[in-house]
Amino acid sequence: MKTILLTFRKLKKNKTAASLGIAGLVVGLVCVVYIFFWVNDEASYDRFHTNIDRIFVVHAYLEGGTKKIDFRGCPPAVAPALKDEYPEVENTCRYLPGEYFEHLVSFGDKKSILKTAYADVSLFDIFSFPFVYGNKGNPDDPNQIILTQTVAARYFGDTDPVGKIVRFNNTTNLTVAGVVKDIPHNSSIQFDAVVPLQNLVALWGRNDILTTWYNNAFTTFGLLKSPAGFDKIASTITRRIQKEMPESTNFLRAYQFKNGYLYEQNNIRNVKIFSLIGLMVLLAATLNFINLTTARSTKQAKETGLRKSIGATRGNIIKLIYSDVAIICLLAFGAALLIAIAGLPFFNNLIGKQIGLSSLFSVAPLGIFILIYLCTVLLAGSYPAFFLSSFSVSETLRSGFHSVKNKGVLRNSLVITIFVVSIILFTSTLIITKQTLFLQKMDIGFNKEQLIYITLEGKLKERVKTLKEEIKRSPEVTSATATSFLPVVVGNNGEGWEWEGKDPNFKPLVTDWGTDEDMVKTLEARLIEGNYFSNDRQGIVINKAFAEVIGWDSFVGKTLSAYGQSHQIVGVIDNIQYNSLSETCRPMVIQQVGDWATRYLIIRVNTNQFDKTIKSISKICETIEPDFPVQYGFVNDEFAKLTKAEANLKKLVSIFSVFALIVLCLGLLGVVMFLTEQKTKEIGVRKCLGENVSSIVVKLIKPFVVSGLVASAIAIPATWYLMNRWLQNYTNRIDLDGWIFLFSIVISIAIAVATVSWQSWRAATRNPVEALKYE
Amino acid sequence: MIKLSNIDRYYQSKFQRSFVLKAVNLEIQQGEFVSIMGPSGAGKSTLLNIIGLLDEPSAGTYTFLGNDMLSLTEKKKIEYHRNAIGFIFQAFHLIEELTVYENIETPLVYKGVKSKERKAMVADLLDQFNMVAKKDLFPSQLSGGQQQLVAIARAIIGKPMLLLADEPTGNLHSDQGKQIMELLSGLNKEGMTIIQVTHSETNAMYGNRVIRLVDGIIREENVQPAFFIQPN
Repeated sequence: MKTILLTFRKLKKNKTAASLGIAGLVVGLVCVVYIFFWVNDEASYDRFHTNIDRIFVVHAYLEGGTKKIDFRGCPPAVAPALKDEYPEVENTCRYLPGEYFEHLVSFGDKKSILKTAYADVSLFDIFSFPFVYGNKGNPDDPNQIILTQTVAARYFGDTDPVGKIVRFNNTTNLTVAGVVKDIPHNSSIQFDAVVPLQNLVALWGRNDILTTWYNNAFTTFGLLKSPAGFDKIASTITRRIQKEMPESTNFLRAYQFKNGYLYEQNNIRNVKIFSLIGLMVLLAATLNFINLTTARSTKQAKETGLRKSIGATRGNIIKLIYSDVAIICLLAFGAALLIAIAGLPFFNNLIGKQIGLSSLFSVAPLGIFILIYLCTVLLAGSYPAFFLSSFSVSETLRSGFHSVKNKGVLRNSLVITIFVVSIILFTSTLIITKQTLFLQKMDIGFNKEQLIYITLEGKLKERVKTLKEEIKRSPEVTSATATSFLPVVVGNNGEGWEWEGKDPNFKPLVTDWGTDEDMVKTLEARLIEGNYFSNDRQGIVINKAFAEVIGWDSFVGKTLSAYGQSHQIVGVIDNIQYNSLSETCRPMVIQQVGDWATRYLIIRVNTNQFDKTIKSISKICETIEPDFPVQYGFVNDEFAKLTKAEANLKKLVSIFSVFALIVLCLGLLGVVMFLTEQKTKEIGVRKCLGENVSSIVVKLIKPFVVSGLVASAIAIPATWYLMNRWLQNYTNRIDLDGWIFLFSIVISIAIAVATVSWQSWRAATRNPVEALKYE
Repeated sequence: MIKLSNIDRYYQSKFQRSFVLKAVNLEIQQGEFVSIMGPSGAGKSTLLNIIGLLDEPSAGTYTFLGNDMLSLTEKKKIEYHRNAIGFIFQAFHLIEELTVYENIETPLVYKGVKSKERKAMVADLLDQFNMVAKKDLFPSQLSGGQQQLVAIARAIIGKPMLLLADEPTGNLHSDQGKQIMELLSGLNKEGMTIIQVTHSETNAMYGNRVIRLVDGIIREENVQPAFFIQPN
């Protein structure tokens, strides 16, 4: 109690220095708390499943093309085989993600498009999605549906909907078997509704769809009887497909589900980046705090000396200083936590997460938080405690004692460290921003602006030609094309393309895209050779990447074959970047889209008044197909999703570098205030001797510029190394040029100079008499 | 009580030793009130610090009540600071964030005296020094003389045998100085051994023995019978 009182009295006495130090610490800690929230959220992905340690995933990869290609899923026959052949496996489930299928589900006049997952109902045995109403239903009955709570409420309010019949896709009737609690946001399995996998047979119109050893679309989960069984599966599963089809180059691999989000999808990379940033900012804030608390060390050293002379042991002193620091840090942590919690909605909004406080108040996060606190106290108290208690008593009590002389080096190194952290973060922000912009502005082979798309359902699909004609009549519409996929995400591919002179062991994976004859016109894509196909010019078009793989001089008129059918090439198109911006474009074949595969109508408009255009388009759609609500979107937005990860990273890193810069400014301000106070007398004497103000100001500012330059020398190689590693994930990447570094150094030092100038100017313009009187 | 023989204190630089104290021999009996005088830089404070175990001589021997003081462990030194030796300084060196009461109490806390007992002891002393009304004030709210009174109270609360005063009146004007010196003189009469460093002949007169230090060497010692002391 007494110590707390004493600490508060001390704080009151040194308001400016203390508040700058604490403010810096708070800012740093807020930053750390957010990073902690974020990392904690990432690390919590999928952890809510009670069976988490026993779940594994099997996926396929292709070898035999230009490079190894990973799939998220594997053939549907793998799951039953696993259950039959491995006694370790208790259950399996095949799953087609809800993000892939949007279906109309209606109940009476209530209609909604739901993200619908297709899955074996064992999904609910393996994973922890607790039922609010009903249960997983009868595993052999395909005509059932399971909804999430929010979605069910949309149709049925708060009543128990089990047994109610909904209309699915306007084609089938399904019985509601159960309602599960809403899925936590930190789940990698997301859906609005789940229907039994058997419904795929009707959707895709093929009977063998669930028994084939082809088709890597099925995410395959397995539940082990005990976690120990995983190793056997991982080591023996690889060539399972080859047992059925010895010539296949499709191999299997298993991983533990708990590693899926962080390691398989490489989210651990950002977790590492941000943990590192968090540590750096915390270090900077702590150093800043040490720096400002030791600014008054002359006084503290005297007090220490005196306490020793009246019988305090070194232990007493260290304890005193530590409890002092511990109390201040506790205050700072409390303040930081409050600020962070208050700002959480804003933070969530910014990074597109829904981090709740409940995730924070459990044992592990609190433990880590306390650990961070203890480390901060240990670090922040170490220097004052051991430095101050080391002075000889008689030295400190002599009048005219200054502990400052031997502190110059230390203070400089503290300032430099804070500078280094700021420059690293600031430069990284610039580089990540530049790379993100580069990806966003990259030539993707077509003009993505002013493109609206409609998802085709029901009669819209059947009567797409009529729809297209109707829409093209409106003056705002330039052109339209029906396609199997949007150009940004093309999810259909396969091996099996053959051509003259091809090495039979070389089996590249080729994407298959279907469009009608107006694609080039509508998307403003570019033909390199030949023409696009049309009704009187039948054939296929390949992309430049495929052309390069084949390696001929000219392509038009030559033929490729697939599964015994030959196709004549009518043209070569420049690469349209799809699926990922970070990789080079993969081979693609474009064919006339079949009616059953038509899913989108892409429309080019010549206006930015989208509202009106969409209204008129919707009207046309509704007259043709009144049963389905009109689903539209912008190609531009779909494209933006491809750079979502980078855009998020950019946002986060820029927030954190702003935090670091604030810490830097607060730190520098504290240091310069201390220095000018110390040098008041020197400045007075210099002025009496005729030195002018500007020369004094320059003298005061110079050490900061020097520190900034020294820090740059350390920060540049570090940033270069880190950012180079980050950029290695991108084939399409910017070069790290000197300008970015130069720019960020100039800016950082300019900010520093601006921070210290005012104080320096004030000190230098003070009346010298006043300065000399001061003692 | 105190016996210093052949005490040297020097700083070693590259080519030469610069002596602060050279071959100092000094014996002080219990109950004496000794004034150390001399020009600036003569080594007065250093001598005091050596006696007070805040500094160590470079050579020589020092015994206190017959015990060798130069081979003490850190722990033993702290024991002496807690129980045997009190300090007062020219700059008072009160802890600014502590009240008068807390300043005086601090040595007792280090000594491990129980809270109740501490209260009684501090109250006694405050009473004796006529400072009861000021016990909750902070040092900055007191005059210099009052601050030095607090410092003396703090120095003697542990009932030391030896009180070391480094220019105790140096920062005070003459009236306040006189008050402090009379207080010290009183303490001496009650049996406390006092060694003070001073520039002032007048203040030296309060003691019964003057040691003149010039350039680290004792030049002159005169012992005055107590009845010669006639302040003012």
